[in-house]
Amino acid sequence: MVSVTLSLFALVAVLRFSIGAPDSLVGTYFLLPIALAGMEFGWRGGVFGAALSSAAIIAWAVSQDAALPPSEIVARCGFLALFGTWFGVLGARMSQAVTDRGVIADQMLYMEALTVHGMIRLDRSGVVTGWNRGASEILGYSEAEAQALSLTVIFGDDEAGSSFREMLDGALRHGLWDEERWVIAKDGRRLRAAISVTPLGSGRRSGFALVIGDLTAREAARHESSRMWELSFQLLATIRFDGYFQHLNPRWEELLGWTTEELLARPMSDFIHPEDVERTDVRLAQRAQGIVVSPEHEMRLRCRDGSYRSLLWNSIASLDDGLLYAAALDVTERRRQEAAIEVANKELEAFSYSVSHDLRAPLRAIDGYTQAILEDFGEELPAQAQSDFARVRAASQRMSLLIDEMLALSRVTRRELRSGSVDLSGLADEITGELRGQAGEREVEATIERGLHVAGDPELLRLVLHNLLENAWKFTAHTEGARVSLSTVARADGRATLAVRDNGAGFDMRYADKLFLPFERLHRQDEFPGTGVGLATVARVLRRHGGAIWAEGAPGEGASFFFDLQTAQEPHAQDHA
Amino acid sequence: MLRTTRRSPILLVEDNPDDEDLTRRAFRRSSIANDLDVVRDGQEALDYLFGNGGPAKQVPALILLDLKLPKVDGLEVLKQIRAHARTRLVPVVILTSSREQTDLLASYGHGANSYVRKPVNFEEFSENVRQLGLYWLDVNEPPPIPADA
Repeated sequence: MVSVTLSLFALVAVLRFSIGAPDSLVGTYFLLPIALAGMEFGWRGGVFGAALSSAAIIAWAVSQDAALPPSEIVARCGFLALFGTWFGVLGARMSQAVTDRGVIADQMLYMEALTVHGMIRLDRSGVVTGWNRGASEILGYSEAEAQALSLTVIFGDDEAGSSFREMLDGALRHGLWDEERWVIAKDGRRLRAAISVTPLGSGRRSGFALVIGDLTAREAARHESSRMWELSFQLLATIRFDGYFQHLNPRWEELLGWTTEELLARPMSDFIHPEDVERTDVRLAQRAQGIVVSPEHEMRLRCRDGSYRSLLWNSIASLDDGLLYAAALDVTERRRQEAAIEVANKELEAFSYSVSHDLRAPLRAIDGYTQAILEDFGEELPAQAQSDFARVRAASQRMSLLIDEMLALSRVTRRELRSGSVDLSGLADEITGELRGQAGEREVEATIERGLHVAGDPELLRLVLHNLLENAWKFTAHTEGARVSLSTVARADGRATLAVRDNGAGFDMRYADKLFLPFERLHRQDEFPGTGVGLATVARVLRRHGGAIWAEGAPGEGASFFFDLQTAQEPHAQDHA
Repeated sequence: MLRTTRRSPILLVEDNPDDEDLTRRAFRRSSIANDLDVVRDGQEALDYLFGNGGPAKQVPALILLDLKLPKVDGLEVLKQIRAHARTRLVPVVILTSSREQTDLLASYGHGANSYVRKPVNFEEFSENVRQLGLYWLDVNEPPPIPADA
C-alpha cells in the first residue's frame, strides 16, 4: 500500500510538472494521493502526503526561477496541509468504520454460532435470511429448510399469542417485541419459548433479528414443582405480608372444608383462633420486616364446621417477593394425645396419692390394734398367739415398706427430669461411706474409679448408684474378703460403659431378665432381705436418661451391673488425681 | 385477755375412725391431759373453729390436721385458719400418711408449723404423738391469742 501511494505521488508530480498545468491548479492534483494516504495511514498519512506535495511544489517553484511569489507558495502549501490533514482524518474514520463493521459482523457470527438460543435474521417482509444452529436445534429445521419456510407455521398455533405479522409490526413500532408463547417445531411438538424481535437498521435493506429461547426445561421444572405442590400430604401455602393467603395447595380444602376461593378472599386472621391472632400477626409483621425469628410457629385455624385444627408451621420469608413460603403440619391429633396423656398422668398422680394416703391407713389399724391386744391382754394370751400376732405386725410393716417402694418407683416415672453434672466418683464415695457406717463390723473393700463425670438428673443418678452399691454391699454379706467396685469399661465403639461389680452371691444367668422387673427377686427373703423394687427403679431411671442396664453373673461368683446414659454426655475420665 | 392456754383442748381433724382411736390411745399412753376434740371432715373443722351455724368453740391449743379429708380438704382448712385473725397464730401440725413432695411444699407454703408422717408401726406412731404433744403443749411457748378474736 505504501508503494502504491508513493507511486501515485510520483505519477501526479511527473504529470503536473512535465505537462504543465495552469498555475492556479498547482497543488490540487495532489489531493487524491493525499486522501489515499490519509485513508491508509490515518491523519499522519494525510499530513505526510501534504508535506510531500508541498515539498514538490516548492522544488518546482524554485526550478522555475521563482515564477511564483513566495506568498503564493505559502498559500498553496497551507491549502495542501489543511486538506491533507482533513482528508487524512476522514480517510482514517472511513477505514475504521469498515473495520468495525467487519468486527461486529464477525462477533454476530460467533454469537449466532455459539449461543444455545435460536437467532434468526429476517428481511423486512419476514423471509428468513439467517438461521443459526440454535434455531435448528430448537425448531428442528435446517437453515436451508428454514429459508423456504414461512414462519407463520412456527408461530401459528398459539391462540393466546400474537400472529407472526403482529410481532414484526410490534417490533417496528416499539423497537423491541418480547413475548412468551408456544411455538411449533418441525416434528409438530409444541414448545414454550421466549421470543424477542427487533428491527435491524433503518434503510431499505432493513429487516429483523428474532431471538428464540427454549423454556421447556423451565416449564418442566415449574410443572414438577406444581405437581409436587398438588401431591404433597403437607399443607403448603404462600402468604402475603398483608396477611392474605396468596396460593394454597389442595390439602387446605380437605383439612378445613373451606374452598380455596373462600380462603383467599379473606384475611388469614379471619380463620385464626381468636387467642392466636395477635401472636400470629406480630410474627408476620416481624418476618415482613426481615426480623429473624424461629421459623416454627403453632396456631389454630377454624374449619368450616366451626372446629379448630392445630397447625405447626415452618416458613421462609422472601422479602423480594413480599411472601412467606410456608408448610404446615396438622398436629391436632398429637396435641389431643398429649392432652390425654396429661390427663392420664394426673390420674396416675391422684392414684399414687390415694395409695400413699389410703392404703397405709388400714395397715396402721392392723398393726395398731394387734399391738393394743398385746398390750391389753398380753398376759392372758398363750405364747403361740403372741408369736402369731408378732407375725401379723411384721407382715403389715412389710406391706407398708412395699407400698413405699412402689410409690418411689412411680415417682421416678412421674418426676420431671432435671439436668445437671454429676460426679459419680464423689457420689460413690459418699454412698460407700454411708454403707460402711451402717454395716458395723463388716470389712468391704471398695474401689472407686476417679474422675467419672456424667450429665443427668443428680437426684435420680444418686438413686441409681445407691441402689447398685447397696445391692453389692448386701449380696457380699456372706462373702469373705468382700469387694465392691465402680469403674468404666471401654467398648469397641470407643465409648465407655460404667460397671458396678461385686464378688458376692451372684445369680443364675437363666433368670437375668427377671432382675429388672419390679417385685421380682432371685433370692429368698431369709437369705437376703429386700423388696425387689431397687433394680426396677434403677432400670427406669436409666431408661429415662436414654440409657440401659444389663448384668452378668454366676451363682457364688459375684455380679457385674453394666450401665450407660446415652442421651447424656458419655462418662469421661478427668484428672486421675 | 388470752382465751387460750396450754390447757385448751387439742383439735384433731381426722376422718378415719381407726386413726382417730389410735391417736386417742397414743395420747392416753402419754402424759398429755388436754381434752381431745375430734371433727371428722374439713367442713366440721371450719364450723368448729369459726362457729358457722353455731357458737364458735374455744380456740384450740393445737390443731392436728389430716390432709385428705371429705368435703373440704386439709389444705383449704389450713388456708382458712391462717386467713382468720382468730386462728392465725394457732400451731397447726399436719398429721398425714402422705410423703408426697407436693403435699410437703403446699403445707409449709400455707403456714403449717410442722409436718408429721403417720407411720404404720404403732409403737413409732404413739411415740410420735407423745413427742408432738410434749413439744407443742409443754416445751413450746404458745402464741398470744388476739383479744378481739
